[in-house]
Amino acid sequence: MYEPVIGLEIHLAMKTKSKMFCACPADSFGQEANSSTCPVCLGLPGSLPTINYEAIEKALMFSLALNCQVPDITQFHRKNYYYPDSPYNYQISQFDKPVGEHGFIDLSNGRKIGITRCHVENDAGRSVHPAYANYSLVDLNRAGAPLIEMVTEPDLRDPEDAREFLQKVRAIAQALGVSDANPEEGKMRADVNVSVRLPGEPFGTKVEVKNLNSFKSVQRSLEHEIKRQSRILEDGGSIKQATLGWDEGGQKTYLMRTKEEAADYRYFPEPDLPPMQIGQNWLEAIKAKTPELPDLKLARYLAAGIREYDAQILAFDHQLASFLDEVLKHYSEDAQAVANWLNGDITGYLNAEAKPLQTTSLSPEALAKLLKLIDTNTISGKIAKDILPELMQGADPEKLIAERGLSQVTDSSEIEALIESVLAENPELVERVKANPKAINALLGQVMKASKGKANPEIVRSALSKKLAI
Amino acid sequence: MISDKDMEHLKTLARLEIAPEETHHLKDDLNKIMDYFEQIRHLDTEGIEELARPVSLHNIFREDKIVSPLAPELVKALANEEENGFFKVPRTVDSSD
Repeated sequence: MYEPVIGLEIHLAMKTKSKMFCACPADSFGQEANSSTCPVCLGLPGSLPTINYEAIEKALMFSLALNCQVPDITQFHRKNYYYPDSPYNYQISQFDKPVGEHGFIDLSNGRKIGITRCHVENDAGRSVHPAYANYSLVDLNRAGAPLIEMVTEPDLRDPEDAREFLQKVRAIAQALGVSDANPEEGKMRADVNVSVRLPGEPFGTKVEVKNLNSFKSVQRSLEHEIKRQSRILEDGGSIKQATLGWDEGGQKTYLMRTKEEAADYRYFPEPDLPPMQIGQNWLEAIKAKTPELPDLKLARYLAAGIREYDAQILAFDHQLASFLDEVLKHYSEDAQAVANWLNGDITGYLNAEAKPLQTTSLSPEALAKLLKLIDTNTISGKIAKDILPELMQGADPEKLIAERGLSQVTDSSEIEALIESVLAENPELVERVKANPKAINALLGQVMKASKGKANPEIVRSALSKKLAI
Repeated sequence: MISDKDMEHLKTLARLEIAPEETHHLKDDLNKIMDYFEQIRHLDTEGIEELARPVSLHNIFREDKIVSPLAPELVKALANEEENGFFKVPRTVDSSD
């Protein structure tokens, strides 16, 4: 049985106001073509780049969060290659002194995934190739936007590990505010390197799969590629080094190009940008303002009594974690109950509507109020679930309950009356329950239905047992 | 000395299509430049550290603030050809892509 050896190369669009080396807006998603450009990012002769302080600080914070060693001096290099949507004819990147090296991330199965390096560079523009035309169109709005590139060691051993790793990277980037790390908007892009070997043997020939724009495509392309390579080797063939693309529709890899000879990038230190001395004081200042990392959130949630399974999901989902933290400020009685709602009905609602949490109008205060209303027996859990969709659209649970008269009926005379009428209407069922007390739930259901879900089920149950003497 | 093989490699790297007679001519020019570098190579640089930048500055940063980009008319005026604000360039991928 062949064992896969997987490494990842991840690009994250940094969340800064301006571009990496000029003052144009960094995020011009959806803007008119070439409307966020200036002489620097257009690569006009005589223009000079300047380093965005915030971008360097964010990259350093991210490197530290990935347990990287940060050098005393970091600098930029020119990486020379010609590409139509890169107007400089080179990319400003890092080579010998990146912002971070030798880091790691721990996976939940205890495997330690090494991070070779993290470096800062600028993004390219965007090309459009109209169908049947003999020309291409170039938009340089994205040219010069700040990127972090991180490269892992070939430490990953299965596609599921790769997915978890990406999820952790995203959670860290989002928690730190370094990047929105949203693959759908191209804010997080991954290339994978994968080879297979028999356990204990040296690494096999690897192929690269480029431009995967969702975690699912990473996982699927890896699964596909591992199968493909294993089959070739089993049949006595050999793997050719190649760069592949991923065909989302056909769920298979396709050949982009066979690897040319080792890239000839002719790196040299960027003469227009002075090196950066980092120093202990700066690093301490960055550490002091680093927000809580997902691993620490996980520990905090476990300590608050949230079960491991739920805590893992919440700690590594930045939106859910931020929301949970806000709810806990207003309602700390039962953290697990909050987790149940977030991972259960709320996630269910979001999946059904295909919406992220922050685009809904659910407020953490409203969820806290809802939980208190359940705790005080003001409403039943059933009613709470029923009104959730309205809460997701911004309704206030207390108002909603008052307006609709949804308060739970706990008054015993009212419940008594409900029971009387249900018993009178269902003589056969009454006989069945008397013969077999375990069937009481059928009657309980009838009473609950008669109360439109508002009766307190515990009170109904005990009143019913008493009434039927069972 | 730059060989014919080196010329082919350079053409690939530079993404340039160059006619054979022109290639020949360019090779001669490049070799003259290489001769000049050869002369420099003979200088005694023992004990002199490589200098990447002419002045020894460090930590020169820009605050993360947006300054208005160029007006679209100015950007369009830079292009030989444009379409809806995009720069129009020769096809950069195979038509089948």
